[in-house]
Amino acid sequence: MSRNQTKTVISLVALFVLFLLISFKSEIFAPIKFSVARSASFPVRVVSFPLREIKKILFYHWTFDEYLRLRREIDTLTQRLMVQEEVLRENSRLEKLLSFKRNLVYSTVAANVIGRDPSNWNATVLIDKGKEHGLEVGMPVVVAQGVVGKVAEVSENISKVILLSDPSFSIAAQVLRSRESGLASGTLLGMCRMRYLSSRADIRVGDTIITSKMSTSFPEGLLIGEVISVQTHEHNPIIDCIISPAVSLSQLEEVLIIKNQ
Amino acid sequence: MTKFLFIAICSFICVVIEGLLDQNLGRWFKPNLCLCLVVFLNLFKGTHPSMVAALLAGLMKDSLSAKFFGLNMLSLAACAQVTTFLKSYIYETGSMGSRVMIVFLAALFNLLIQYAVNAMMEQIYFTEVFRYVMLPEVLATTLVAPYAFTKFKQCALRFFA
Repeated sequence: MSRNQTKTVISLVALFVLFLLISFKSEIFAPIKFSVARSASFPVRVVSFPLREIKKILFYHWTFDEYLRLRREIDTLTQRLMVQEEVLRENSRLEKLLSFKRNLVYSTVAANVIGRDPSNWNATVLIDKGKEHGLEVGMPVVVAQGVVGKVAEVSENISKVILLSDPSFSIAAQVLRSRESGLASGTLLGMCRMRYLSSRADIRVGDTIITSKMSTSFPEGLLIGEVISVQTHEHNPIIDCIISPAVSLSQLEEVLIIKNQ
Repeated sequence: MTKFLFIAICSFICVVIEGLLDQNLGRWFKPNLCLCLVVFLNLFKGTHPSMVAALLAGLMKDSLSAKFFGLNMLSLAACAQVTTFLKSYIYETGSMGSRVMIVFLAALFNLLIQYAVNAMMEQIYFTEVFRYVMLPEVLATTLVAPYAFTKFKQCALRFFA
């Protein structure tokens, strides 16, 4: 091996060892990380703002049609909500009768998305709330449409949220129709994958996936997404399901963090 | 000091432009401009400036990520070392083709390091990595490299004029 090659190999090994040391003690670099993240995300937000306004003007007709559709949907959902509130009241009365106490009200914090990791390996966003607002690592993050992700890192007034579509995110999930349980994890496609379903599991395209009672961090019943593909393998005892998230993760502007359950 | 300032500003601008491209063009066009900067500095100024750029740009990218802190610093710094190694075999002064070839190989190497570390910690499938991460990033980076090099050179000449 020539001298140049030896030097390169030694440098690469030294870099890898340094990386392992930095990675295992990354909490030391937390102040630097969040200051740099805030500085890097600010110009992106400033430049993106006029582009977003221009897009709103260009897509006016589409936006107006979408507005009309959503208004009709709101009317339908309001009627359903009234029926469900009645069911909830009856449920609450029956629970009291059975002396079964459960807290149905969640304390939440609203936050704005102020930045995003542009890498294809991760799906992470920055939000403008942190420890000062009561946030902690592991808190679930949702929007009205469903699950968004969970809080991964927290500083005084900024936090990082790992999205549902990040490969390192996992959540206990179940199929709404058949109550089959599994684990929904993110993939590099920007979707989710439902794992640990047996080959006989009753799941099909179009099924709705929600959070399961077995999830320790998320309340049960929150919408995760819809199954868009089910693949069975001849010699494999498990099946592969791809889920399209209910929330449009690339267009997040505001999120809710659930502080207690 | 001037050199350090130039490298820091260029690294910052590259990270910001990558963020803008991600927000406005989506996941299919994601050139690694920080890598282009590292390779440019290595070819025109040597290993040390490219290592500084690698560490600064890597720090900024790691700050935005919620996962392994130091991974981007490691991969970009390793690419700087590999560029030093490759330029003795491939690079011809004045040849844009050889520069693009080095960028292509460096982009591939960068992604392989990221894949190796991610695969150790998470369950990811190589076919998905190839289709949704490697192909878009390597192709976009190679396509954008000649334009990026021209702009970097113009900025360097203006800064140090």
